[in-house]
Amino acid sequence: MPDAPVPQRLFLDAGVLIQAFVAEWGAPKALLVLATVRGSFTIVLAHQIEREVRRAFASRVAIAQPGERRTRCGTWHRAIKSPWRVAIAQPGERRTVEQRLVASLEGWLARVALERLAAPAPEAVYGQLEVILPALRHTNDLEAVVSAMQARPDWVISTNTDHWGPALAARTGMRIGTPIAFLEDVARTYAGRATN
Amino acid sequence: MRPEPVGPIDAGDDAEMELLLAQSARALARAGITAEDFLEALPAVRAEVRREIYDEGYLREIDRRVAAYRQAPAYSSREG
Repeated sequence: MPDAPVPQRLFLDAGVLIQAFVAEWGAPKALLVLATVRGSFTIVLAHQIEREVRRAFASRVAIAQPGERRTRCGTWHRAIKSPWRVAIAQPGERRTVEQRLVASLEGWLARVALERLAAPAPEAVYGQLEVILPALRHTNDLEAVVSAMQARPDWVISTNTDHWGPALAARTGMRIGTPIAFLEDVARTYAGRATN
Repeated sequence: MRPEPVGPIDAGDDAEMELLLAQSARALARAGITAEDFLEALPAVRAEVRREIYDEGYLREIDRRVAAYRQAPAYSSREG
């Protein structure tokens, strides 16, 4: 009897999760569905990335609150000046939209094989600086990269190819790709098995 | 430790997930919010989460080390 396949461990960047839950269609959503096949995939989720996704859901669904409609000009003015571009919708809709997004995220997390990672300790980050800095585009990504390096996943999947690109892959030895690249690889693997 | 692999999800579970995903996408569409809106916000969100997780001393030290690295002649020659 052949050995059971070892699940592929997939480290997901925040952009993948956001696109998967927000967009109606696309490779991130396909990845999300595929990842629910728990015998084949394990999601590696860094603490700070999960927190970013939850925060982005809460912050971006910043919609006029009940009572603010009376001061609509003021609300619009604040919206334009705010770093968050505020979407205006019916009062009370904010909670509904946010709740549905969070319910989707939690429903999905409950369905996948999940490996949660704590944020890396400062010493761990300092220890990787020389490796990472030559390929790092933005300091804010530093801890996410160190988390991925510590986890040693089969794939690091990101939609941001500027920040998670070939240079970073070469420096860290990680296999970094977009959701499309990952799906293409899965398709090739499946096609290979089907013809053998 | 890796979680124990279990079998694929069943049909009832799948239908529930489909409903959850469809509901959130529809709610967002009604509110006029797109994935791009969220992605634009992500760098600011990441910076905010970083400040919550790590103390100021660490963030200052990282900035100092990154600046020192980028000011070093070796970095300039690589970039040039």
